[in-house]
Order: sequence, then C-alpha cells, then structure tokens
Amino acid sequence: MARVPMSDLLRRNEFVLIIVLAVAVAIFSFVDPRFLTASNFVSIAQQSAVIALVAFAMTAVIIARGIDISVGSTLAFAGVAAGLVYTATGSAAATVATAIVSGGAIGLLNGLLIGLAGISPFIVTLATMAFGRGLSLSLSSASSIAISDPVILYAGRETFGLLPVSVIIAAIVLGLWWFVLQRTVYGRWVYAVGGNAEAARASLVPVSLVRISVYLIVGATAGLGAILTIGRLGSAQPLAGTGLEFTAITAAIVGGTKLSGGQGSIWGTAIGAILLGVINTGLSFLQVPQIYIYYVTGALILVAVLASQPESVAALLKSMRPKAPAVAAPEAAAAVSAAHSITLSGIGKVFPGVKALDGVSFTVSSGEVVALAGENGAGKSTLVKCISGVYRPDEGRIIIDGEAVDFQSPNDAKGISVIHQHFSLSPDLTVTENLFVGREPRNAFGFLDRSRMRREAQAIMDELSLDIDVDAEVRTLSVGRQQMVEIARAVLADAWFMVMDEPTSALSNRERDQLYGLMEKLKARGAAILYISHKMEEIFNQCDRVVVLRDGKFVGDRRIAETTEAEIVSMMVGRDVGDIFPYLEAEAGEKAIEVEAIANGKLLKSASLSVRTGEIVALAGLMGSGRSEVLRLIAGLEKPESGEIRIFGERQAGGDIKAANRAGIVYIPEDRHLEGFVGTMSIRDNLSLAWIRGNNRLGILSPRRIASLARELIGSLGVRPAQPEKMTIQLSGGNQQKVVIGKWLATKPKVILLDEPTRGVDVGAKSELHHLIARLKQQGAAILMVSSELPEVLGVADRIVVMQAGHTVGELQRGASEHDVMALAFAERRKPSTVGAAVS
Amino acid sequence: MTAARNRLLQHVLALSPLILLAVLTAVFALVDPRVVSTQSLLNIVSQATPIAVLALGALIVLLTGGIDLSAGVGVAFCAVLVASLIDAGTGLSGALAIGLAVMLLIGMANGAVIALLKIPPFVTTLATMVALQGATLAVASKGVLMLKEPWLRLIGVERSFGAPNVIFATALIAIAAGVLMRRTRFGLRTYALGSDPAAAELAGIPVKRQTILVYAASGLFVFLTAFIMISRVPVVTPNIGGTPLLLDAIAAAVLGGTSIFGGRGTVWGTVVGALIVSLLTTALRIFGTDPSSLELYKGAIIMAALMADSAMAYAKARLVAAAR
Repeated sequence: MARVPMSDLLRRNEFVLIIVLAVAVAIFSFVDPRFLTASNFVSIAQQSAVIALVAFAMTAVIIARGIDISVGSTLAFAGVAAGLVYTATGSAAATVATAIVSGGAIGLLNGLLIGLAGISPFIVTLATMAFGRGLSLSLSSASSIAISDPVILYAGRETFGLLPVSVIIAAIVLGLWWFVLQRTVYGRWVYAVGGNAEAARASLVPVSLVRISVYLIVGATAGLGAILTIGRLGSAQPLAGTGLEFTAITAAIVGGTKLSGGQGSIWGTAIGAILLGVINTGLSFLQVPQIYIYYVTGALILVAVLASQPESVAALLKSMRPKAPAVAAPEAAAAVSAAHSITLSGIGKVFPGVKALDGVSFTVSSGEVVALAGENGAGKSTLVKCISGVYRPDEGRIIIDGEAVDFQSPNDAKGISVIHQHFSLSPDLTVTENLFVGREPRNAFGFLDRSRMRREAQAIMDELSLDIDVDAEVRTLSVGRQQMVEIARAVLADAWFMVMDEPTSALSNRERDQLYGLMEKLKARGAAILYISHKMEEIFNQCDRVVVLRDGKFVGDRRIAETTEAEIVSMMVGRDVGDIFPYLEAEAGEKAIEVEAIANGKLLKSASLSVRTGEIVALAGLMGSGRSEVLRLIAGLEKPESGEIRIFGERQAGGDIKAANRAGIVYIPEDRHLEGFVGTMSIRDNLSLAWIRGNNRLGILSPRRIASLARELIGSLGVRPAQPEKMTIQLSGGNQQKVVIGKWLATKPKVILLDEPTRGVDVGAKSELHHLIARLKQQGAAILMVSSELPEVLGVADRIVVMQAGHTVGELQRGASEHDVMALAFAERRKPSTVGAAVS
Repeated sequence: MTAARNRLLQHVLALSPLILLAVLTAVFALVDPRVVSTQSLLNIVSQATPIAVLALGALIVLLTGGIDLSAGVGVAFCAVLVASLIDAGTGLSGALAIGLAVMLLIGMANGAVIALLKIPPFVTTLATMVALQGATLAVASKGVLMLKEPWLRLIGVERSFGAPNVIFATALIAIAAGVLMRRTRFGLRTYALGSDPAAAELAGIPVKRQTILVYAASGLFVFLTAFIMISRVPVVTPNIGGTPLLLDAIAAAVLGGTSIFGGRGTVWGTVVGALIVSLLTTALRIFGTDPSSLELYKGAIIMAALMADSAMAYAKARLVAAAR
C-alpha cells in the first residue's frame, strides 16, 4: 500500500479530531481518575446519542447547503404529539409512529418552504423554531406528559449487553448515513446540490426534491430523538431539545462539514458529537461552572471554522504585514482637459502553468480611442486587471505621465476607470447615490449633502446629454443605461483613462449609438479610452488606433487609417488555423435535429436549422443574437413559445430536460462554473454525476464501475492531472471543460449541443478539445456548436448557420470566408429596433 | 399605460407595511372593539418600543446581508450588567456608560471576526450568543435585581401628554436612526454594501471597516433596547430579552419590508413592523388566547409574513423585468 504522507494525514479532519479527543480524554483522566471508567464512557455515549443522531441528519442538510435551526423545537413537538397519542390510545406503536411522523411533518414544511418557495433556510427554520415550540407548549398546556409503557421507554433507557440501546441506534444510523452518502445516487445528489445547485440541475439532479427530502429526514430524525429523550426522562416535555440545534450544528461544523455546502463527512460529525460530549462531561467532572462550558463550546465553533478555512487566516496575517509604500498615481489633475498619457512597458503576468501576458508595450494618450483586439484568451482581461490595479504585473512597468507607478489595489489606480462587462453598481441605490457612494460630499455638520449630490448628478447627466432619471433605482434601468451611469461615475471621479470592455455587447442599436456619441464627448474632454471589442466595424469606425494581442503577447500597433480588416484578423489569428481547429471527414447520416421557426418570446424570434449525424453545425452571430437560446430550447431548458423541434424525426414538446436527455441530447453550457461542474466534487464524481442516474442498482452505486468509468474517460479525454480523486475546482480551465464534456460522453449521447466549448481555454487545450469533438462526429454524433470565435467556426464546422437579432439569417457551406459570415451577422435588418427591448 | 400602473403598484408595494398594519387593526377591531381602546392602543405602542429599537439594530445588519444572533441574549446581558453595577453602588450614568462601552466592544468584536477572518455572520454571532448566555448567568449571580432609579422611572413609566415617556424616547431613537441611515455616509455605505458587496468594494468603500461599524451599531441598539427594558420594568432577571425578543425584532424588520438578502429596508417600515408584532401579541391576549399558545400563533403569523415577503419579491422582480 502507498504510504500516506504525514502532512496529508494532518489535513484529514477526522484524524486531527481523534488526536484532540485523545488529548481531552487524557487530560480529564489525569485530573480525575474517575473519568476513565467504563460506566462514565457509557454515560457520555448515552448523552451524546441524541445529539449525534440529529447531527448526522444535520450534516446532510449542511452538505446540501442548508441549515435547520428548528430541530430542537421539532423534537419537543414530536415528543408532545407522541405523548398525547399515548395518553389517548396507550398504543406503543402508534406513539412511536406519531413521534416520527410529526417530526417529519415539520421537516416537510421546512423543506417545502425552502425547496419550492425558495425562502432562505435560516429564516424559514427560525420561524418553524418558534412555531414548533409554541405548538408543543400549546398542545401540552406547558406541562410534561408522563409515559410509562416500557416498550416506548426501551430505546431511551435500557442497555443491550453492555451498550445502551440509544448508542446502538446511533451507531446503526451512522452506518446508514455513511452508506447513503457514499454509496448511493441520493448521496451523490446531496453533495452535488450543495456544491453547485445550478450544475446539479443541469446534470438532471432533482434539486428541489433533494432539498425537500433532507429537511424531511432531519425532521423525522428529530422525531426519533424525541422517543429516545422520552425514554431517558420518562415523560414528554414541551421544553425538551432546547439548544439541540446549536449543539448539532456545532458537532457537524467541528467535524469538518462546511457551511458553504458540498463538503462534509458523517464520521467527522460522529467524532465531533463525541468530542462535545467528552468536553461537557469532563468540565462538569472538574466542577467547572456551566458558563465556562458555554465559553469553551463557543470557542470550539470558531476554532473549527477557522481550521476549515486556513486561507482566511493566511490572508489576515498577510494583510497585517506592513505594506510596501505604495507609489500612487500622480494626482489626477482636477482639470481633466490637461493632457495625460499611460505607457505600458514590457508587461508580463504569470499564472500557475500559463504565461498570460508577455512583453506587452504600448501607449495611450489623452484624446484618443485605442482598440484592444485579440481572440478570447489572448490576455485582454488580464491586461485590464494589471492596468486597474486588480493584479500586479510580474514583469515590466506602467508609466503614467512619465512616472512609473505600482498599484497595490484598485484604490491606488486614481484617474483610471474600468467600465466592466459585469456592472459594478449597487442595484438597490438610486442613480445619484451610485454616482457618489465611496466619495460622498458632506455638509458642515458631517451629514450627507444630498442636495449637492443631486445637483451635481443632474449636471453631469446634462453635460453628457444623458436622459437618465437621477432618482431612479439602478435596478430599474436597462443594461445600456446602467453602463452610461457607470461612465458618468467615472467622469465624476475625474477619471481620464477609461477602459471599456466590450461595452456594446449587450446594448440595443439605439443605446449603442448613444454610447458612441458619449465617447466623442469624452474624447473632447481629454479622456483616453482603451476600447476592447470583437467587432471589426466598431474598431474601424470608432477608434484611432488598434493594438493586437495574441496568446498574451503584443503583436502590433496600427493606425486605423493605415490598416485593413484583413491585416488585423491575420494579426489576431496569426497561425495556421487548421492546427488548432482540426477538420475530420465523416459520413453525414440521417437528420438528427430539425428545428423550425422556434421562438422563446424574448430574444429569440425565429430560428430554423437542421443537423445530421456525423456533422458539426456551427451557430455564428453576435452576442445577444439568440444563439445560446436555440441550444437551450433544444436541450429542454426552456420551453419554446412557438415553432417545432424534431429529434430523429420525433416531435419534442420542449421544456423538459429529462425527455431531451432520453432522446439522446446533451447540452454543454457556456458558463462552466455556473452550470458545468460541481467544484467541490472530485473528477471521478463529476464524470459519473449524470451517468449514475441510469447505472445503479436500486439507487446503490458500484464504486468499482464508477472507478473504471472515470479511468476510461480520464484516459480518453486526456484530463491532467490524471488523478480521479482531485477536486475539479483545482484543474485548469481546459481540463475542467474536458471533465464537463466527459460527464456527458459517459451517457453515450447521440446529439451534442456545445455552447462556446473552448472559451477561456489555452491554445493547446483548444486543439485537444476539438480533436475530441471531431472524433465524436466520426463516431456518428450530431453536433451543434455555438462559438464567438470565427476561426473556430470556420475551422471545424461542416455548415455554418448565422443568426442576427433573434433570426437565422443564412446558411454557409464549409469553405466560407470570415467576410461571408460577418456580412450576414452584421447586416442591419429592415426593422432595426428588434435588438433588445426598447428603453423604459 | 402599463408604466403608470406599474408605478402605482410600486407605490402600493412600498407602503405595504402600513397597509398591513391598518388592515390588521381594522380586522381585530371588528372582532373585538377592546383592541382599539385608548388604553389598548397605548399599550400596543409601549410594548412595541423594545421590539422597535432592537429591530432597528437588526435592520442595519440585515441591510448588509448579515445577521446578529447575539442581539437577543445581548439585551439580557447588558440589562443584567447595568443592573448589577447599579446594585454594586456604581451611579446610574456610570453604569450606563460601561454598559454602552461593553456592547460596542462586543459588536466590534463580532464585526472584526466577520470582516477580517471571513467567518460567516451566522456562525460568528452564534458563538457570541453562546458566550453571552454564559456571561449573563455569571453576572447575574445574585438572581433577580430590583432597580429603584428615579431617572429610569421617569423615562420608562411616567407619562407626558397622557402617553408613557418611553414612546417619545423611542420616537427620538427612530428619528436618529432615520437620519443615520438616510443622511450619513455610514447609512449610504451600509445600503451599498448589502446591495452588491463586489460593487461596494469597487466603489472604494472600505468594506472591512464598514462591516465592523455595522456590527458596532448593532451593539449600540442592543444597549438602547436593554435601557428601554430596564426603565420599563424595574425587575431585572437573566430571562429578559433573549431569543424570543430577537425573533420579534427580526420579524418586525421583515414585516417592515427589509430584505434578508441585504440592500433593501427602511427605518419607518421597521418601526411599523414592530407595531404589527406588538399589535398581534396584544390582540391575541385580549382575545383571551392561552399564554402558552402565544408563541404558536406568532410563529404562524411570521411564517405567513415571510411567504408574503417572497411573493412580493416575486412581484417586484416581475415589475423590474417589465420595466426593462
């Protein structure tokens, strides 16, 4: 057997806990030898049994990214309900059944409110905590109900041989939970829902059902706990279980279960519960007052949480170290009209395994708009982050107005403003508040000067000719108007250098023209703009110069007047496309996908296309032209409003992921992190997540078959590192994408829908992924792919369908040129206002 | 056309706490006119005072998307601490000053752990709550304490213009809270922090410092709540305040339109929410509900309010989608 290195062992939570447990036992026994007796341990175990029982179920709830603070009240309510049934019927079976059913009822209520109504688990169970306690006080008239039937009391007070029955029950439940979490489909689902609910949903996991069921189980477990408690006390008490929720949560957290979901082990919880029992009993043995036991318990929670997130401690220590004196940007002159310039000199940035930027040098000066062009993954975003102080470059210098600067954080980058693709406004604040938050003007008394804020906000809107209500909440504005507020904010902050990251990608035509007008105004004010865009038309109409990056390297700098589209494209691509985007011949067979005039009532107006087996069809078009929506409709993630979808000739009702999956369709989403994989799960578990649905025996998994499936897929996909145990979040983007594709390949799909399959992946991995896709085509899969990268579209597709403004506008055969595609994609439709909804 | 209707609907939604209060009062008055007698109305408002003040503290924390579970037990701790100090011979003002300082420190400690160590607010304040439970019992070693401070009586018991002074004191606190949240940098930044933490950071808000200040403010309101409680009832035990009061306070904030996801909520809405909670309690008593069942009905009503809250959030989301 392979030796386990000591450091790995120490990272295992259970191991550390056992050491702590042993130390605690040793200390208590040393201080008081009576501690180290069999009868004492039996008593500790008996006390811990109910806590452990509830803590096991709580662990599952927390793994599924929930919390249940109503368990104590639920236990009391279940006990009281059982007591009443006992008083009325005298039947032991009915009493026990009542306890479990009434506990389960509260759990089901929690589950429905959380899983279906989508209310936060904390608030829901806070309410049921009050509700359950009230119910038990009310039903019992606030007095205890005596129970004398030995059958009911058996589990709580008798012993079987040496061991108390309650401890045996807890041990059996522990074994059951271990089996369920490790060896069943349901267990995998619990981890997947907690790790990434969106990805779980996309992998056909019944997310709501899993959520509801964990609360149902924890409620029923509290009911079982009620029977054990009744057995110990000889009566049902309305105040039983007070504080149980906190003890149970503590046991789970101490045992290494993370509140952020997706991670945790039932063994850890078991040891955590025993540790709490030992500390409690031990401190009482030492006659430490109850209050210190509270302190110790409180401290234990903090230590446990801290131990489980060492990175936050490291970050704190790092932040406490004295900072190198920041070389701030030269005071941005109040007069924006003063001329400024920013020069990048040999900028380089290295990430583990990738050189993201290498020797980037160029200058931008006041009054000019410079386009930054490059394929996805060329390093544009990384460069922007270096300029704005989010990253520190590893090589080279940034020079502003002749002085080298070194930004420690975005706050140092005065005068520089990035207009983000994802907006950085607070949706709940008004436009005025957003313009000033962080640099609020105050009056003589130190209060906010709201009238001045409003006045200046209105003034800047007037100056930039923006027709935006300064009192409107930002969340009510359209995307385009939010972007303009952001630009206004930058102007107010005296920013002279603005980076705009694909600003028009989500705008309607009218908003786009407004933005162009705004850029002219900014230029006239002496601002310098670095404009990131994929659209050649924009680059040639709006910019003065263009800088091209490729694979993180600076390729060239051209004046717009002195260059052509063809030159820029060749600079961006710069290598033989065939190497990265291979094309393999295959025999096209029957029609697999037929789509006629489908619409979703929103962006997508009318799309028609077909894909045969053994064929790759690419959907090209601008962002927001409705490409992804076509895939989502075919995959059953959305329901079509009109039109028809046929898969292998069979009409699909639509809107049903499972039916689409049965028809052999798999969908590999654009946003890997959101919908693709569960980061907290291992490569192996992610690869098998969809496969286990159809490959289990009565819900029980075969670890051997899963291991061989994972081995096979890792081998054929070339996932690196080839360690099935590795957490998927730790892989590089390209390898994560291989895992996502592999998860679906395991289900032997006939129709594969790919949305931006190689976004954010380096060139080497791109080539590997496309070889993989081409082989699938040869094996007879029908593949429909959306891509924003024209070289990718032109390189791998058998046919290209172009979309524009929600319509399919044309189909091109293999061999079409970039120009052909762009001509279709950019052609203004006769009714130009169909892009996006009109501004409110 | 629809824009005008949407705007109207938006105004109605914004006023919903007030509408709920009016409707409930009317319904209860129909069931039993005693609910709207002068005596009962004054009683409802007086009972609402500690709930309202604690709810204002809860509001500030909820606005950032956080939670302070230690607030309820903190009230008990602070009350017992101040009472014990007075009992031990410290003057009233000295005892109150120490109580305030200790609660501010505890709040800052909560905030520091949350902001610097990035431990979830839920866990941090849970630990503080457990520790404060212990500390309360330790301080209250003498059991029940009687306070005979004329100044406290003046505020909590005596009346001006026919109403208990405590109502005026609470009104002042609420106005101050309103100014704090609407007219100061602290308030604006608190809203921004809860609305979108990443955006707040990009806007240059010192997020860590703001978080610590927010929990310190929670400590301040815990102190004020304890002050109101000991001035209204001179018998101080470790059982005053506690988790039931915290539940009432959170319910008041949520009923008043505060979103538990941060960024949305108002001071006046929270005060109205406290009045609703107090109205429910008083009305149930007048109807002759068994005291042991009070919690049951309150729990049920809070759950109904939560469901209404998520329905309203849904309606708002639809409005926004329609506006786009």
